[in-house]
Amino acid sequence: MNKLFEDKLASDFSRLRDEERQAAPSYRNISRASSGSLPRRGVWRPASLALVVSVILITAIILMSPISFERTDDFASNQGDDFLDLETMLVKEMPTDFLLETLWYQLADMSPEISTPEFNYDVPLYEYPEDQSHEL
Amino acid sequence: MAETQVELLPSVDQISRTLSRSEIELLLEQYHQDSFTWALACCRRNFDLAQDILQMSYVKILDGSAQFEARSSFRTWLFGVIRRTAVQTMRNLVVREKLLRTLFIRRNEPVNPEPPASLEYSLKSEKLVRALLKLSTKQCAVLQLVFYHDMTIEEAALVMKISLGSARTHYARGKKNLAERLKDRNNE
Repeated sequence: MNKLFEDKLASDFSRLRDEERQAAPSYRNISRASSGSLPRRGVWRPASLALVVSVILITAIILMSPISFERTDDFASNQGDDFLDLETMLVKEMPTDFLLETLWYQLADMSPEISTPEFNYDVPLYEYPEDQSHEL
Repeated sequence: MAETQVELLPSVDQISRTLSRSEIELLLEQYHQDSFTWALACCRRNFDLAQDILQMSYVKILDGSAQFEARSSFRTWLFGVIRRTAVQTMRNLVVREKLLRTLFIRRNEPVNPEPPASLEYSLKSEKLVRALLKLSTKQCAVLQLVFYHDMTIEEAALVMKISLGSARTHYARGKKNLAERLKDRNNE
């Protein structure tokens, strides 16, 4: 039974093989497509090399350039005490001050300052009876 | 023509560790039909996918990503490369499809995937193919290698990178299951 089944299976597979082999695309078609896709890898290699070289060049340019890139906290400490003088800062005119020169801004500037009203409420004082519970 | 090609081919014993590109191409051409049918079996008889898998395998071999080191026959090694490529491709396809379904397809939306392109088989062959598709991947692969490609179980184990014992088990169970499936088909 087993041998019979194996023989039958072998003949069925052989038929299937013949049918599938007939439908196989030619080697040339597939190998041509394969060799056509080979340069893909070749394109990535110079691209990645160019990326690495450009990163190295940019780093070198930044490090070698005469402009010194100081940190902001170093910069603040080097300026001395005058730099943080509040009066000087207030006197200085900001370059964006002209934006405030509008009609509404002038009107707001002209209006009198409203003072905070004083509320003097007299809170009535009540006399609380003395607690005498401990004497009971 | 075929005979002269075979004569030109180096035997396995003569093959050194480094094969020239022309020698590899000659061997690939010789085993092309076998390779295609094996690729077809590896991707559940999907004709278009089989061509893609075979092409990717050739690219791997020709650009040197997969190198033949003469530890087995060229055909066994070639089948191994095709199988590995097929497994990777199928896995990628499954992940991509799951991701697309999760991200872009609403749950209540009916999904009607197009059936994969397949060959036109005769009635008997179609019965066999349908029965084979119902087996597990490994059982189907072992039976295909043994009955279809006339390999020994040892060679099949090498192609599939499994132990000889596992290959024997898959072979025995596959044969039993296939007999049952074919019997069911005959009864229908």
